[in-house]
Amino acid sequence: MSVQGYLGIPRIEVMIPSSVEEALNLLQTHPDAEILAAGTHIITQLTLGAKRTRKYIDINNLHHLRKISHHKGVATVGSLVTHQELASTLINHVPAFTTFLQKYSSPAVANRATVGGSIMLRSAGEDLIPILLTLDAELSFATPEGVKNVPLTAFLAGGFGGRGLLQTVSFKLNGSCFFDKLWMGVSRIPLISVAVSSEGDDGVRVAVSHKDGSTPGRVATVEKFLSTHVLSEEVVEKASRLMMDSINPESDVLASSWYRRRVAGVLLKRLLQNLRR
Amino acid sequence: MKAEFMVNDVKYVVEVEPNERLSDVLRRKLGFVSVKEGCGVGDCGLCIVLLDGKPVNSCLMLAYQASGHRITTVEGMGDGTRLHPLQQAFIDVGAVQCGFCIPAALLVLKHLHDTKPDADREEVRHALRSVLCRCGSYIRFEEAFKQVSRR
Repeated sequence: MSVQGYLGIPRIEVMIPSSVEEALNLLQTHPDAEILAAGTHIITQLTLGAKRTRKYIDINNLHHLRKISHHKGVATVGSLVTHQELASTLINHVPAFTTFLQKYSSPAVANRATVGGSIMLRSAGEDLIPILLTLDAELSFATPEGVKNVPLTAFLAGGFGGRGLLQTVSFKLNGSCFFDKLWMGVSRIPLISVAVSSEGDDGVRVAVSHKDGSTPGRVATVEKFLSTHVLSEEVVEKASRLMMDSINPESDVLASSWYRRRVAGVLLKRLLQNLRR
Repeated sequence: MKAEFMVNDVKYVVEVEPNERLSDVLRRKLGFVSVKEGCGVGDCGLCIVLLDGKPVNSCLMLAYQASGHRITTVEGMGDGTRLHPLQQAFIDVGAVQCGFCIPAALLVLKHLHDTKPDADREEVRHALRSVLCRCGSYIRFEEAFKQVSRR
């Protein structure tokens, strides 16, 4: 939308709850409303005319959703924590967050975009999701029926069956979690991104941004293969090929499915070599 | 709705519509013309301001969301009579070509200088990733930062 050379966004209605209970009430009484966190995605979509929702519940006054804590190897992160806050706070516990920040599109956007916003998008463009998948992330939603905990894998597969407010994300802190991606353009939207984490005797977790189409997911076949083999040079090579055959990414204007599969294999190889060191 | 925030240490209380972005209000209502609109979707970074000292894209933020926060634009960088050392260094190294991205580049480098004055080349380049300079003046931005760091 453009008026006299300026971009602008259409008229919207915003409700600003001051408690989780109030937010849940608004979600129930306004079924056509969406949650608005920082708005880095929603404002962009409104500006581009790609979003039809005109009613929003802005949760920025729920300050307790901005907390990060960790205890006994598990981090609990509020949904309003920004990407920059998350990665810089936990960078010494999860090496993947170093690459996450290094390869992030714009540090200024990282200062606003939220963890909850990324998760709720359930999109291949969100670099955080593959990392959290390998760390066995669990989501905690406030709902009118009480708190519902949902594993991130299940949420990506089918939501959580209702309307609620994502409050926190909990995940393991793992010093053997690595991330890499290949991107194109200023926005650094990943053509494909891959994360791995070693769980010691429990094997290796592998996740990719485009597991099926544009949905991120864990790659069970590769994980199963790695759980039964010692990580030699030959095993890394085989796992890389298995990766290419085990995912079904979409083709779009940025890259073909074939290219994404090939790159996923190469990135996995590099990450597994990191694990071997 | 009312938005109440500080811009360059001056308090503003502004009546805003929910769909007005911070960039709209700063530039068009309050006259901070250093806040530019380039892409309008967070790619170019020309609308960057400092929010509580950190760079953010003001086109990706609704104006009312800035309530209670401190905003710095390039108009607030100097002390009223003298330029900020980074502004002077931009002049000294000839960093300005078309000038459109200069306010944003200055603000991201100010944040870096305030938080890490001895930042190395990679860190300067990482910070500048928030700003798209079509003239390609990045090397001179780096040089300006280096000059200020050496002092």
